[in-house]
Amino acid sequence: MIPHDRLVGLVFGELDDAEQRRVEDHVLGCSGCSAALERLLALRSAVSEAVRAGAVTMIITPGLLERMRREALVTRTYVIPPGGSVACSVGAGDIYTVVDLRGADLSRVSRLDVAIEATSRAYRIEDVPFDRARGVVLVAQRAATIRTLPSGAHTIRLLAVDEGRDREVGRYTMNHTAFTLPS
Amino acid sequence: MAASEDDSLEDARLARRVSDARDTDAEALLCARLFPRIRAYGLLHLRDSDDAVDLAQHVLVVVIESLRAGKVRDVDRFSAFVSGTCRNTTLDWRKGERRRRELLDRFGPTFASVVEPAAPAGGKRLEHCLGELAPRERTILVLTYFADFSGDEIATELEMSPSHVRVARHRALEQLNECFEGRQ
Repeated sequence: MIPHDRLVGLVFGELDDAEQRRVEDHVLGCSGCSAALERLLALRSAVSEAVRAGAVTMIITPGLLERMRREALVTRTYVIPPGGSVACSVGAGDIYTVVDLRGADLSRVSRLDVAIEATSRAYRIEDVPFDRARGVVLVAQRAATIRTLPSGAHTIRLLAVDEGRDREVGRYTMNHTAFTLPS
Repeated sequence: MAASEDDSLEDARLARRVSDARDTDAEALLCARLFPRIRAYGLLHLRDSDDAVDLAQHVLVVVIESLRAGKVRDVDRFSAFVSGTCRNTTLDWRKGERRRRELLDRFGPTFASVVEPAAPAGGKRLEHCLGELAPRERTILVLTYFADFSGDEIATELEMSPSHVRVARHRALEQLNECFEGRQ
């Protein structure tokens, strides 16, 4: 079998002409490699379908938010300043809810974690992408998951991690009202 | 990097049976073996699953007819003949010389029995595997596949260098592949 890395290079056009030809020749003579290539190529539609189905909780970027809005995947965005709180809920037809955490000083942060404490559970998302210049972190949450949450206050903390130590750079509160089916 | 020896040797053996004896069982076996590989090549270059299937059928028609007519001079290098036919056909189609519909009308049903669905990649398994990725790598894959951002555009969005984006994308896809294969 050809190294998977080489197939990824082929898919993204990262190989020079001679190498591309060698890899293609190999794939045409190798059942296992062609199956692996086909799986890689099928990811384009599979990942897009998963995103459109509201199945992926993720940290997003402004460009991705714009794209998701264009496809009507985001119907609610909660913008929260540091130390601020917001009343929030979720609708039956929502696909993603975006939380726009802004105002934190991220100018000297190299690694940023997001710690979420909800009524039912607490978890931490490590080493997230963030907009350093504008001090913004965008969290896209699956609406399907939010619809299962009870009412209560959820705390989100932005933690700068330096040499293994946490430094809180932002704290935000979401006062969530549990979803109820429309009567 | 040698082509998978087992596959190429067996392909050449079957090709010789077609070329020398017009062995129809060998033809069917050869088509079934080559079809998914040519379809993968077609997906890579044509980016459309229907076009990829059309390419596979067209190339198989050309290959089998050439073998039957004794036009494949060096059957030991049969894989090179298949590669060349794939490349030439793709180039011809890109130039607009697409007489393939004609050929498909004539020969399409011949290979219908060897058409298998493309490898499954979606569903709950994909959701699980995406969830196992590091957040930054998950974002990179979504930007790549869903938003159609180039490596340079992703680098700008994430304030990373393009080479770091490439490395992270390779790592994420390797991890997804391992997850699909049940290695994690």
